[in-house]
Amino acid sequence: MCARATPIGRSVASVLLAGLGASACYDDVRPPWALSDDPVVLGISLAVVEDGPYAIDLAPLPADRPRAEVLPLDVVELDALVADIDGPLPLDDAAWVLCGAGCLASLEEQGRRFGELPDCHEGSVAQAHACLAGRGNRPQVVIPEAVPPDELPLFFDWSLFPRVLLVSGRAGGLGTDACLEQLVLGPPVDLVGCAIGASDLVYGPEWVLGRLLTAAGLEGWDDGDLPPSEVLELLPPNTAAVFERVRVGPYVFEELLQYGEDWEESLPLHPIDEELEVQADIELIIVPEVPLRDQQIVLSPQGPGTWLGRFEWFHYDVWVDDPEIELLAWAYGYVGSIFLRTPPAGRTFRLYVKATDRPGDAVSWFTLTLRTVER
Amino acid sequence: MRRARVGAWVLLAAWAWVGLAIAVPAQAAEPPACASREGCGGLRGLVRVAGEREPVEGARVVVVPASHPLDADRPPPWSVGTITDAEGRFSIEGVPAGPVRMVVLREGLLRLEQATEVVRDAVVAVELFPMSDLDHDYRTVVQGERSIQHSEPRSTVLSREEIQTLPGTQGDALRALQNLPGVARPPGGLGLLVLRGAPPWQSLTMLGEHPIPRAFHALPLAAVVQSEALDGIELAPSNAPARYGPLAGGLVRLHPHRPRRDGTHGHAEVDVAGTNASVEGPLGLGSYMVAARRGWLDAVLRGAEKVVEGQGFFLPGLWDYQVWMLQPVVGDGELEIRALGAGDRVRQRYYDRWSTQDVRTVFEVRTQFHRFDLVGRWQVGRTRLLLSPAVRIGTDFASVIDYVTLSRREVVPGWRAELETVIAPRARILVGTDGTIAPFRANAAYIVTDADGLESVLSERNSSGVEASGGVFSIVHFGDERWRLSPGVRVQGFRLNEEHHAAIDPRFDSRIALGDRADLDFGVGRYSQAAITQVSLTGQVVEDLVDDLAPTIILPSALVSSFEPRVPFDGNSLGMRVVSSTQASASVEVELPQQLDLRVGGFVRSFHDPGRVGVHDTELGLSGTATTGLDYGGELLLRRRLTRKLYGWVAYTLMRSRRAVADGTVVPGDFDQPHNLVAVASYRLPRRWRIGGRFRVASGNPYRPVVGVAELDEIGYPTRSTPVFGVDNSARFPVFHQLDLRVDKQWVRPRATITGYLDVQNVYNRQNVEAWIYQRDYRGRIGAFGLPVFPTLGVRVDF
Repeated sequence: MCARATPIGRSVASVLLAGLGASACYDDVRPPWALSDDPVVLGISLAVVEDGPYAIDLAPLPADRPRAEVLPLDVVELDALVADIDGPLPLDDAAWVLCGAGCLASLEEQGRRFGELPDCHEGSVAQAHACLAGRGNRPQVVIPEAVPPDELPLFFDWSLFPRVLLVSGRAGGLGTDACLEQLVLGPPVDLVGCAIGASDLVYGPEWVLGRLLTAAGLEGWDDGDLPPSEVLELLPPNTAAVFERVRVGPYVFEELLQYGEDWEESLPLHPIDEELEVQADIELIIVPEVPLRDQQIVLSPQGPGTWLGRFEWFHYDVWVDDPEIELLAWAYGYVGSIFLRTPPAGRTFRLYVKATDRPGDAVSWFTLTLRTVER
Repeated sequence: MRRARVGAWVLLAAWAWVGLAIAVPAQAAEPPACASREGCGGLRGLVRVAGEREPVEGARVVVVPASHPLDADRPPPWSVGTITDAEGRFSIEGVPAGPVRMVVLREGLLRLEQATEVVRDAVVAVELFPMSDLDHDYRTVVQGERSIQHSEPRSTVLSREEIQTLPGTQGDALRALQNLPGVARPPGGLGLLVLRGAPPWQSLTMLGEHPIPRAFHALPLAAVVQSEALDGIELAPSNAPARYGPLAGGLVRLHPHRPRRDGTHGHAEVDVAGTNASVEGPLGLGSYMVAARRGWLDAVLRGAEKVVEGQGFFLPGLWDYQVWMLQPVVGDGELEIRALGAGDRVRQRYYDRWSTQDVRTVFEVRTQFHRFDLVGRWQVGRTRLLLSPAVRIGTDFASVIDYVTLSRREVVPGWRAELETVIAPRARILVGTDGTIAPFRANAAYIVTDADGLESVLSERNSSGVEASGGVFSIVHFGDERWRLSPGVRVQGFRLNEEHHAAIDPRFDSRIALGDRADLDFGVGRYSQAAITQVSLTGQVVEDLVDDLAPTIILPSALVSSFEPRVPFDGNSLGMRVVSSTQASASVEVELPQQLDLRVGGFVRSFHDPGRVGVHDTELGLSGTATTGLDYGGELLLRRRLTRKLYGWVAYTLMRSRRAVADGTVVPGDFDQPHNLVAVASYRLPRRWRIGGRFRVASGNPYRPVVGVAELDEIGYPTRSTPVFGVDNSARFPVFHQLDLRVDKQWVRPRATITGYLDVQNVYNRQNVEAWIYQRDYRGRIGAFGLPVFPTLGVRVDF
């Protein structure tokens, strides 16, 4: 089967084929959603564990739902899901780096100019710089000021804010320090065993940021049609969802067409921490259930009147530990539900699902173990 | 000039009486023979080689009675004969009327017997077409000058026959060169000339007296001049003499074919890639040739376009033509008039049945040039004069879907003038000048496409300017039959609008005889050329497209450096820099028994490129990112000279190419190819079969490897994998090897030769990796293989 390469991909390769009529087959050797022996950073999340000085006006949150959007000088706990084909990997030796825009490039620039990766402090992380924020599992990190007051540019740019980079080696292979050394000091020679993931940090709430940036004299901040901050102060900041149940069942397109989203409601609910039995050799739909309390309260200025309510949907990135599993429509991304084709009976496999909420961009994840049976 | 003779007369010994007849010294007809009662008549005619129709000079035409048995052991009752003149003509008077047998005999030709009837008191006209004796090892071949007095540095020459029968090159002159030492195997097997580590754009390709803007058609698949329009091709991979520039790499000289005057000749050829034809013949006191080619790969691929939905296709369409005219002029001179042109249209399209447009064009390039040369040559005593004005008209157009359209037009006058004269018994001097002035107009229009698919111009920029380069040069040749020293200098000026640069390039080469069968060549010199920095259609377009649309494809670095055509479009943000190199090379050539030549040599080239700069950068005092480099290596060529039956060679190049970039890091150059071995042989079998083979082994091309993967989470986007790249060119594609075979069969008719050929590339289907295609998470890859077993069947008619 030669169906997965992009048209331009085949075309450019066909240029190389000199005769141009020559054919070649560029199928993936393994589906891109299938985990391999190499570790993959599936997601990085943050939870604010201690408010900084700019968070004083925020509405309170329940104790078990930490804020998932950060303001400078907040203390956050960073977490990540790293896995290979054998399962999640420990992060005991992981290195957490705060970096500028173009995270890997800023790391290289840091090494080229200064020859080391310094520890982060509450000062700034300039755009092309990087610093070591912490080591190990779930470090607590102070998010620095974006830019020191005397270096403020005229115009606001999201690239002013630091991002986070996770680098983790593995036992029996290349260690974290060796991975970091290649990235910082170069030359990069072999990083195949290193888990490397970079993520934008979600800064907010936006109305607080806007107030701070305007006060700092930056132009270019666009707050759109946000309601007055006096109103927004009443809304709780965004939190990350915690998934506990999923709806799972055969995917029947005709039924979906007939009943719409109500049809999904008819699928049975299952706890995600149980191994689920699913029918072999069918197309399967998985609909994670989003707890109502985790849905963001949104004050929408759109339309004829202001609308207040819980309004959230999720984008799912999915990986699987069995290369034989075919995720359907993977290339288009999953919003609301996940589709896959189940293998023959007797197979047990695990799905890794990273959920990113919209419009909050808070990240959370869960895993789901499925076993195929004959029906 | 070499001549090899193998006893041709032995062929005649069987028939003693014919031997007697031809033993008579060459005279006109032998008058005593005619005392016939039936009276006498005459014969006149023309002897030409069958198929080729080339007049045969010096052939003996003997006439005997038709009734005389062929196997008779006694002489015929009478015989008359003569010898053909320079135009193959003969005339015999006093032949007894009645049936006669004409016998044509000459070295290198098969004996021809043809019956005719002599008519009383009349002269009968006949045409005789003896066939070439392919088993006869006699021929005249110009195989490159070995004379010490030859004023050019050592170069390698390929003859027309070698070019046309070389396996795996489809008769393409420049692709044939890729089999010689000092020429790297290009990425993807494309038609590129990588001479001793120099990128293709640094080498100069001359057609006659003037450079051609590009050597190959777009992509690049074939030379812009078809081999029928050439008499030969000459390669000097480094140390070109001061006559030639601007260049920082090597030199290729295409020698235009001198059209024949001995009748009208031509050819027509058809194969899967296209068709070409030529015709030549006398014109007044001179001669002419017209050749044309049309490639139709685009048409072939268009047929497949709708079969494979979503499959993107590059559709290359090409054409070229050559018109040569040669006329003698007063003063023992000659005048050549040439017109040539080449054009390409390359489209990248894919079939989308859901689109209203059905087939969508991602990008399109149209480029063409026409060139007109006037060449006058005079020899006055011991002075040679060459005057050659030329003009080139070029138009280029490119469009990228939903982004930009670019166009450029230029009219480029050029000139070359040379005067060479003897100034002392052992000294000659050559002085000359050459150059081009290229005023151009360019347009760049950035476009947007609305929701309905309608395009509108977002912004537009028109620009114009002048690019020019010119040189004056002088070479003094000292020497005699045993040695030659040729110091020279080339002073060059480069101009881009108001920006000027100059370069003085001293050059020296020499040749010294080492005994009777060997000589030593040595050359050293400096070479400069201008490089224009501007918005241009280069390999960067390919790289950007790949990055945008298929980022998981890792191409050889050399491919991006070699995209043709390199068309500069924008006149407003131009900048010029001078790239220079210092080259040295030495070689020893030894003439061995068995018509073998052995050449062993070494070379070194250091170069400096100040890096891309624009005018505005220059005004601000900014400089580009400089690159310096060193290419060095050794070469070996063991060659069997072209004979009737066999030609072939073994060429081996050991080459390293190193580049130092701004921070001092030294990396392999894009064209670093440590080992390149080519073995070629072609053998003429009986019954006009020819079989040939080519085997190549070459180191893989360097590329920038993926050494790790990072997952990126950006707000608003799904998680995506991004590669972590290693050092530029720190990895290499696997070793390339391939065997190509070619079989030719000729059918000779009196007035035409029909050749059918089967050229099979990659006979054992070696899966040579030409690019890596990573899967989307960069954690697995497969090779994009080059040409699989690829047979080409063609038919050619020469008349």
